[in-house]
Amino acid sequence: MRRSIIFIAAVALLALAAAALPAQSLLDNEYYQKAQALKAQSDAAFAAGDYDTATALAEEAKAELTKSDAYVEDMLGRYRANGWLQQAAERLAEAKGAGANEYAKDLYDEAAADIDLAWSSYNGERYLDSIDFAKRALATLDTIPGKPQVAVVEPVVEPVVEPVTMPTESLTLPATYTVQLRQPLRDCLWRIAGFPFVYNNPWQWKALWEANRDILIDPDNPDLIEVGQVLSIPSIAGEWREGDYDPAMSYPTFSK
Amino acid sequence: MRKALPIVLAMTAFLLAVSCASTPPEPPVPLPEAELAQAKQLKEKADLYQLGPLAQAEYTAAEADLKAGEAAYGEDNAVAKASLDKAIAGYQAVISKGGALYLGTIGDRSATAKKSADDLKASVAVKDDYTKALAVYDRALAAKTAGDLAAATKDFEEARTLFEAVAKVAAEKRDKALAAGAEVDQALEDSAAKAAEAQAALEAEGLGGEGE
Repeated sequence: MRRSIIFIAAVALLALAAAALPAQSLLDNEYYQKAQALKAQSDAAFAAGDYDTATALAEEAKAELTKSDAYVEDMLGRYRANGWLQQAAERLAEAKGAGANEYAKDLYDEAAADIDLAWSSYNGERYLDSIDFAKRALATLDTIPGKPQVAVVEPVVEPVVEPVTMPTESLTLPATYTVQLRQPLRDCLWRIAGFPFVYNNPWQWKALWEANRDILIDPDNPDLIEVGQVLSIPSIAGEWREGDYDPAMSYPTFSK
Repeated sequence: MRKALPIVLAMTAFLLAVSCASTPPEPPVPLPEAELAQAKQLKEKADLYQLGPLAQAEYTAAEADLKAGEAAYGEDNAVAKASLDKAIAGYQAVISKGGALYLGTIGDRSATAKKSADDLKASVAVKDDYTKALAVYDRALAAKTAGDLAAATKDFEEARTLFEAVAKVAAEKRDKALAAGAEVDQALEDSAAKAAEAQAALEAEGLGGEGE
């Protein structure tokens, strides 16, 4: 039962994760944008005759492009691993629905174990490994035969549909936070930055301030935030963030 | 009477002879040593900067006067002095006229070197060395205005050398920056192509991507 819940949760989580994949071009990443900005600065320095600066900025731009390439490669692996994992988890759920966890328990458990490994690799950002485990799970699931026919006609029993449980644990940190009315300690950038899923360090409040100046009532006053405002939580250490903070979910603790 | 006439004539001749013999002799003209030294010094200066071709008539005349002065030197010092005075004036004219043309020429060479450095924006690219070259150049212009042929020549030549060195360094830096910029342009294209390829692959596989 517990494993069923975990798998259903995993499928739901993967579906959510797939839906949350950034609706943006892979090229639209911070490294590529920074490289473009550095190139523009390099061109300006060149035009002014400051060739040393122009060269240095161009070298910086190239370094950012290397990061951009790595990012694109990483995202490609991530999306692919996500896709294979989702497919494997769905197939496992189907197998379970067909009773394979009973009549082909060994194969089912083997596939489930591989999906666990795939999931673990995915979380560890070892996407190629994750894909391999997910593919192996699918291959195992392919070998599970159809449910054996029995001579005695049993009364048709409606399959018990497991209630879909929303995932209780998120593997990624949230990218946004909606200001809430908390008592007795009201939300403020200091406290929000101190939340474990934000920066786990209130001293990082300035990162929130800088990222959200344009939506503050007074951009120069970080103390004025309103209930309902959706604050961006920028990545400050290269951590992956996505989605809005959900109080019903538990999140990993941010650490640099 | 006829006897007395030869005596009178003889007396007269004697008196004339005595009278002539007592006229004081004219003092000898001294050797024009200073004039000769000055003329040679001026000639040396004109030759050092090769000013003869720049004031040919004056130079030819001065040369002839110097030769005449040297030829008469010690024999007819008055003639020698007069020739040497003319030679001095001639060489001074050569230096005055030819010197201006000469400084104009080497000044132009320095100015050309400066322009090359300016075109390469060396005042920014190689700021310190350019500033030094400019200071020497300005000093040369001041010396030229003052008519100081030696100082102006030295400073113009030094400024030209400095500007050429500065321009060379600026050109190297410029080329390096150009190459680095071109590499970035290529890298931007390459990265964009890689991202587009990855994007297309994801879309083909039905995974994420733009517009999802």
